Amino acid sequence: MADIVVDSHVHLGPTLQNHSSPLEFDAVTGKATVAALDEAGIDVGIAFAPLYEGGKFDDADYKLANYAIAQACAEFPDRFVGYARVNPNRRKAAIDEYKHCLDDYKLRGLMLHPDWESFYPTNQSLLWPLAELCAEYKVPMTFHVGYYPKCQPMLFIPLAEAFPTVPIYLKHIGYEYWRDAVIMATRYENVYLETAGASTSGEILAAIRWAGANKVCYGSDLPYCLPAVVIKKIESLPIPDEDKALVLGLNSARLNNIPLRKAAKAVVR
Amino acid sequence: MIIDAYAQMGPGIANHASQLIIPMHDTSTPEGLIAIMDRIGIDRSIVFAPKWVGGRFVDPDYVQSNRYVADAVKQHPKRLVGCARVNPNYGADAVKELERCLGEYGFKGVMLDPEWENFHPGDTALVYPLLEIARAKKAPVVFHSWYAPSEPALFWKVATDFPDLQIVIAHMGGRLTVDAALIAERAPNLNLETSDHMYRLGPFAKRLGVRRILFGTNTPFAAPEAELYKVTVRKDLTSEEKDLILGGNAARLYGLG
Repeated sequence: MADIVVDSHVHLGPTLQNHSSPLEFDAVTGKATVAALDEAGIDVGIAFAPLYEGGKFDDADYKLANYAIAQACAEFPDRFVGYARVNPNRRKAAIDEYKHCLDDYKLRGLMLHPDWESFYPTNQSLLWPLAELCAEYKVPMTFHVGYYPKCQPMLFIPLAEAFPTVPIYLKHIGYEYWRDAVIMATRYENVYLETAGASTSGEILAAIRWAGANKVCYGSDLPYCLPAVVIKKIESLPIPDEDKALVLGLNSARLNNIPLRKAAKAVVR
Repeated sequence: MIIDAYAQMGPGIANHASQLIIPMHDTSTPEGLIAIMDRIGIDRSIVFAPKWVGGRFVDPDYVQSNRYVADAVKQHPKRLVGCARVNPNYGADAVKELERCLGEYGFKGVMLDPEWENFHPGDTALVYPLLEIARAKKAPVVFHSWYAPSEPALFWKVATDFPDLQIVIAHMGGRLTVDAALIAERAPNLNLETSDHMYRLGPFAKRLGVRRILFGTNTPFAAPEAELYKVTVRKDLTSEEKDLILGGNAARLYGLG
């Protein structure tokens, strides 16, 4: 139904093998992940590293993981948009790694997890240099949102104001703070909501009604979650088909310069 | 047989129009609910009043809503299973209302919402008298579970204090599914209902045992198609296991023929 389906939240890479909890898919390689995308009818996955939780693959600075994303993008350029993931606490090393990802790997965005990596989104010394690179390269940032005290949506106010040209995705529609995340998306033109995983269909509908269908982007959290179920939630909502198309893919296609198939082009707002 | 263990119906639905989470379908009447059931392929629904959020229909003690559910069940006995909803903060009046629901109305279960009604599930003065009535009638008690004070941990002591009462933790504990699963593993009378839960249903069900998982939709506040699909799409559950989750377990717990 949708013109293009873009999953704004896909994890892949070798460090998934460190995870003790069961996964829905094998997403260690680009090839395996493409099979999961195909199964759910996803055209393009925005892919970044899973969280590093120790184990056999030693990759606390995400270098191995970013390399895997680069490989997947090189192998399947039509199926993946790759984002870098870094730990901002590494300071210069994190900035260097991100620059390496942009210049050498041609990755097209930055994923950060303030709770897991332990930093405040208000921390200018750690975060602003990375955001400046996003502004310079005209690429989005995407953040895990949800969990006190480092991931409440309101903590992103200074970042959204300081970098008005950088699209900022708030993942999981802010989890337990989904109402606050919706407020952020209504207040800031550059703030978008992403539906990954735990967002309920009621919350997704509320986000679309209050922030607008042009501010909500489908994401699944693959391989922790079945993307087909998240898509089904969005398709089942009592909203116009053109709004579903925006949420399922057109918004993220626009934000990430993903080319549309010919039929879809007329629908873009 | 597919049984929805978590459906909401009655005149209180209309009050929700101004809320952040709005009804996706009009289930203010039994016909509205049954139309959705027919469309999705649900045979029976365990039905209770939506939370009272203020508005034109004034019913904070759920007395009118329960009577409405009772009438609906009388009209559609093959499709709807009545479930009482009471507000424990009404004390003796809540006790009286629950007795009427499980007696005169013949309801099969009880739904309590600690988050909305703002009570502690382990409150021995307000909640335990209600649980005693449910136990005497062999009626399962469904607790909404999401934000505090309805997080899964709070049902652990309740389950231990009422070992012969079947308790259903709705939404698999919301975003605290791992907590819910850890506690349910240690309290055999705890069951988990699936609506609005998202991550890794199959592995959770397998680990706890599929007999402890009940399919629910949270109609009309969630998309029922997606809630059903979430179970049917899984490749790690056999069709027998899916049958139990989709209806067999609810039939056993609620004594439905």
